[in-house]
Amino acid sequence: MLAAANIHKNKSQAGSLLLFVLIAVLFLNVGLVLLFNFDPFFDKRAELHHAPHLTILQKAEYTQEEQLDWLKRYSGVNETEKLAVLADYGEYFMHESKNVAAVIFQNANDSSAMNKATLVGKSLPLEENGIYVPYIMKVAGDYRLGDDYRLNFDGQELHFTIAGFTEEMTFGALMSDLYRFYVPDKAFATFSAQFPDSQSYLQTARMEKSSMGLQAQLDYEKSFYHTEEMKNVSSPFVFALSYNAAKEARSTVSITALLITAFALIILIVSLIVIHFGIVNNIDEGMTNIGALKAIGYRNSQIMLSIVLQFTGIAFVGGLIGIAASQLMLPVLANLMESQSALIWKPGLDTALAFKSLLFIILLVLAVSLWAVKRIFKLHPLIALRGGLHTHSFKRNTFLLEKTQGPLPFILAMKQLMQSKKQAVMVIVIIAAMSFASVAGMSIYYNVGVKPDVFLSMIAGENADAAFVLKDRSRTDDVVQYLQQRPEVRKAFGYQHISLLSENIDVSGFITKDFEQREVNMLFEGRYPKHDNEVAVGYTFAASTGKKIGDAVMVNAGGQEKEFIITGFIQSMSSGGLNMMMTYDGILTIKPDFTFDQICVYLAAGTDTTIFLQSVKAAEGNIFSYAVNTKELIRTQFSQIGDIFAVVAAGMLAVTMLVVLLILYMVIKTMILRKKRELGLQKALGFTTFQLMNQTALHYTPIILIGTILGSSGGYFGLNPILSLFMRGAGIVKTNLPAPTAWTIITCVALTALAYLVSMLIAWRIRKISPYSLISE
Amino acid sequence: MQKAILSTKKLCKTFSTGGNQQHVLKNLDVEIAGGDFTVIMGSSGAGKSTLLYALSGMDKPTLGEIYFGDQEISKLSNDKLAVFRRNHCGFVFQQIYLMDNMSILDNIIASGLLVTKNHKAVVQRAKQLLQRLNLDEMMWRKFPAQVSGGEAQRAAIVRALINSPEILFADEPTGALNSAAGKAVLDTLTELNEQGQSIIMVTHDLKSARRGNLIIYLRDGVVCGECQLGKYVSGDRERHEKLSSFLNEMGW
Repeated sequence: MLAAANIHKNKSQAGSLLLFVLIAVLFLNVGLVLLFNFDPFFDKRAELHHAPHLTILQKAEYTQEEQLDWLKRYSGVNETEKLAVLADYGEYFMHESKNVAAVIFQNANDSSAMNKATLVGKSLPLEENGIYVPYIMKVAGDYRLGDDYRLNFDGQELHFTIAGFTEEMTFGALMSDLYRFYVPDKAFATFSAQFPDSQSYLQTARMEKSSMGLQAQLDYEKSFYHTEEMKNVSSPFVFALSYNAAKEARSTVSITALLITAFALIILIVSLIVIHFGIVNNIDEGMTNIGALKAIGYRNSQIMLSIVLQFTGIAFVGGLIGIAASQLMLPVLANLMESQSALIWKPGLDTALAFKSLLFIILLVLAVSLWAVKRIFKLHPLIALRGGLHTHSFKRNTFLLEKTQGPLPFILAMKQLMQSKKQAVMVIVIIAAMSFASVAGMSIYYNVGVKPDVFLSMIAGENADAAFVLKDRSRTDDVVQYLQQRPEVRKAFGYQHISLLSENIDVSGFITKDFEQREVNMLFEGRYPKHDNEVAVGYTFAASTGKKIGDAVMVNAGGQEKEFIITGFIQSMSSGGLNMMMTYDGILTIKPDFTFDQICVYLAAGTDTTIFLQSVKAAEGNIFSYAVNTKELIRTQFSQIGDIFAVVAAGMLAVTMLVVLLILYMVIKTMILRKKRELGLQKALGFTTFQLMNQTALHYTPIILIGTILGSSGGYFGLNPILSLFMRGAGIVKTNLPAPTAWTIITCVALTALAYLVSMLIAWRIRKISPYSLISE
Repeated sequence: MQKAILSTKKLCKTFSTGGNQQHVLKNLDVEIAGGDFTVIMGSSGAGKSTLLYALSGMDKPTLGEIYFGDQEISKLSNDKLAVFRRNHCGFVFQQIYLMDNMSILDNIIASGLLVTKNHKAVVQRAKQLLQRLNLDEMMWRKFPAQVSGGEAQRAAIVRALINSPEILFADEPTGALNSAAGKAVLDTLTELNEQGQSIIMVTHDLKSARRGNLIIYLRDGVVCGECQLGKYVSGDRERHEKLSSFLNEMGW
C-alpha cells in the first residue's frame, strides 16, 4: 500500500526509472538473444540442410582418390560425398559495383545429400539459361526472380536468368568471398567443356559432431598440402574449409551482439545508479513521513520494504515491457543482419533467456534498493520528523560572493554545484559512461563503415589498391617490372599467401621480398624477417607454441623442413592469428621453385583504380587470372556490415541522448521540487524566471561537459586498449584503429549543448513557481 | 502629507480552489504615503498578507489597479514585476527565508548583485548594514541555521535593505521570534522608519502595531477603518490608548 502510494506520488520519477529499466532490458535481451541464439540457429539450419562439417575444394588436377578414402577412414566421419564442380575466379555484380570472388558452378541435377540446392522463397523452373544464386544476392544485391544475372567467369561474360535463391551454410556469406551457383545439367556440361581449367572437385564430409570438422581440416591439410607432391601448389582453389570457419564468416552477428550487450550493461549500470539516486532522494523528500510512520509504530523493515517494493515493482514492469519491446526490435535487427549472414533468421521469444534477463535485473535492483534504504535503520524518528536536519553539513561555503567576481547566475550555479557534489558525481559517471559508449560505438562504425582500411588490415593483412593473380607464374618478375614502370603505379611487388606447417600447426604464411615495402604495419614486437633464416610469427601461434623472439621454429613447406629464428611478432585475424612472415629468400630454402603469382599494386594519389585496371587488362589482360580493385571489393564486403554498425551506432547515440535527457529531467525536476521554496524566495527578491532557468542550466552544463569529456576521452583513447583485450583471442594484440577526432569533438559539443538546452527546457517549469507560494504553502 | 508611494483602485483578489471561489480582497482603495510606517491588521483570513503581497508585486490582483507612484504595476509581466521588486522593494518574512545553503553575507550580497554589478560597492554596503544592525562580524560567514532567529531576521532586514528600496514590506516579522528578539527587530524597523524608510508591515501583534503611524484594519477583504497615530515614541500612553480604542472599535 505504501509502495503504491509512493509510486502514485512520484509518477514522473517512476516513469523515468521504468524507461531506464525498459531500455536496459530491451538491449540486454536483444544482445543476449543474438549472442546465444544465433549459434543454435545456425546449427539447426545446418542440420536442416544436411550441411557438411568439412568442405574441400580442389582443382581436378590435384584431386586424388586416396583423399576421399582418407576422409572416409577419418575418425568421426559419418558420411562423405564427392561432386564435380567448376571453380575459378569470377566477377559478380552487386548494385553498381563489380567484385571478384571465388565462383563455383554446380550441376543442379547432381544427386547430393550435403550439397543440394536449398531454395528459399519462391522459385522458377530451372530452364536452360536459369541459375540458382546465393540468397545474399537478393538481400545485399537486390536481385529478384527473373532478373538477368551477369557473371564474368574466367574472363568470359555469362548471362543467366535468376530462377531461385539458395540458402547456403558453407558458401554465400559476404565475408567468405565464396559463392556457389547452381546451373542445369546442360549448362554445366557446356561450361565444363568451355572452362576445362576450372574443373574441380568438391569433397564434403559430415562428422559425428560439427565441431570435429576443424581438426579434420587441420589433419587433412597436414596429410595432403604439405607433401612433396603438393609442394608447388599455391592455387587458391585447393583448400579445406571447416564448419567452424563457415560459421565465423557470419561473425558480424556475434560482434553486433557483443556490442549491444555491452551497451545494455552500461545502461543497466546507469539504471542502477539512477535507482540508488531515486531511493536516496525519496528518503530525503519523505523524511518527515518516514519519521511519522516510525512514530506511529511502523517497523524499519516495513518502511524499507515499501521502498524496495516500489523500485523492484517498477523494475519488474519496466523489464516486462522491455522484453516485449525487444520482440519488436529483434526481427528488425535480424532482418538487417540477413544481408551479412545470408541466412533467414526469425528469432522468436526465448522465454528462458527473457526470464533470466528479467531475474538478473530484478535481483540487481533488489540489491541496490536494499543498499540504498539501509540508512532508514539509523534514522531516529525525531530526526526524521525534523526533516533529517542533522545530516546537513555547513562546513563548506564555496564560491564566496564576497570574494568571487563574475556573473551572478554563474556563481550561484557553481555554488549549487559544489553543494551537491554527490549528485554531480553521479551525473558525471552516467554521462561519462554514455559518452564512452557513444564514442566507442561511433569509432567502431567509422572504422568498419566509413574508413575500413585499418580495420581490414587487422583482418586481412596487406591492403593494396589493386591485386593481380598471374596465369603464368614464370613471368612474375617481368610483370612486376612492367607494372612498376607504369606512371600510375607507386610500387608493385610480389606478395603471396601460402600454407606452411610449423611445429605441427598449419599456418598462413605471407611471403614477399622486402617486408618494409608493405604499408600495413602488422608487427607489434621485434622486427620483420630480413634474412633467409628468419620469420615473424602471429600472436596465436606464439602463444600456443610458447615461442619467444629469438627462439627457433621448424617450418615445413611441401615436405622440406628447416629451422628459422623468430625475429618478431605479428598480428592478424587472418587464420585466427596462426600466421608467419617469411622472406622470399627464406621460402626458397625450403621450396626452391617458389615463385610469386600474386602481385600487390599501390597507385599514385588521385589514380582511379578501375580505369587503371581496365587499362592494364586492355594491354596485358591475358596474363592475369584475375585483377581486383581491392578497395572496391572491401567496400562491397563491408558495406553491409557498415550498414549494420551504422544502425547500431546510431541507436547507441540516440539512446545516449535519451538517457541524458532522462537523467537531466529527473535530476532537475527533483532539484526544482526540493528547492521550490528557495526558488520562490529568489523570485520574491527579484530574480527573473530566465535568470533562475539559466542558473539551473549552468549548474548542470559543467557537469555534463566534464562527464562528456571524460567519457569521450575514454572512448577515444581507450578504444584500442579495450579492443585489444577483446581481440587477443583472435590474434590481435595491439589494435590501432584511428578514433574519429572530429566526430568525438562534435559529440562532446553536441551533448553539452543539448544538455544546456534541455536543462533550460526542463527548468522552464520554474516559471510556475510564484513568490506567493512562500506564504500560500 | 507626503505623496502616495503606493495606491490601489478597486483592488480585488479571488482564489479559486476546487470550483469554489474565495473573494479575499474586495474593491480595496488604499493609499500609502512615502515615509510612513503602515501597519495592516485584521483577523485571520481578513486578507492582510494577500494585500501586502499584491502591493509588493509578488502576486497579481484579479481585478483593479495598483500604482507605484504613477506607474501601474498590476499589469506588469512576471519578469517585469521581478525587476520592479528588486529595484524598489525589500522583504522581511515571518519565516525569515534566508537561503540556507548560503552564508549570511552571501545571502545579502546575492540580492545586491541583482541590481548592480559593482561588486565592491555591494560588499561594502552589506558589511555597513550588518554593522549598523549590530550583527557581529563573527556571524557574517555563518549559515542561517547557525545563528539565532533574531539574528537571522535582522540579517533578513539587511538583505531587504541592500538595494535601498523605496518600500520595505514586512510580513509578521516577529511572528517566529521570542519577545527579546522580536523587540530588537521592531526597534530596527522603527529606527529605519525614523530615517525615512517607508515600511508596510502586516501583524496581529499589538506591540508590533504600536510602531506604525498608520494602521489599516481589514475585515473580510475590505478596509474597515484607518487610524493615524503619528510617529512612535516609546511609552506614549495616549498613542497606545488611541490604538487600543481603534482596535476595540474594529472588533479586534
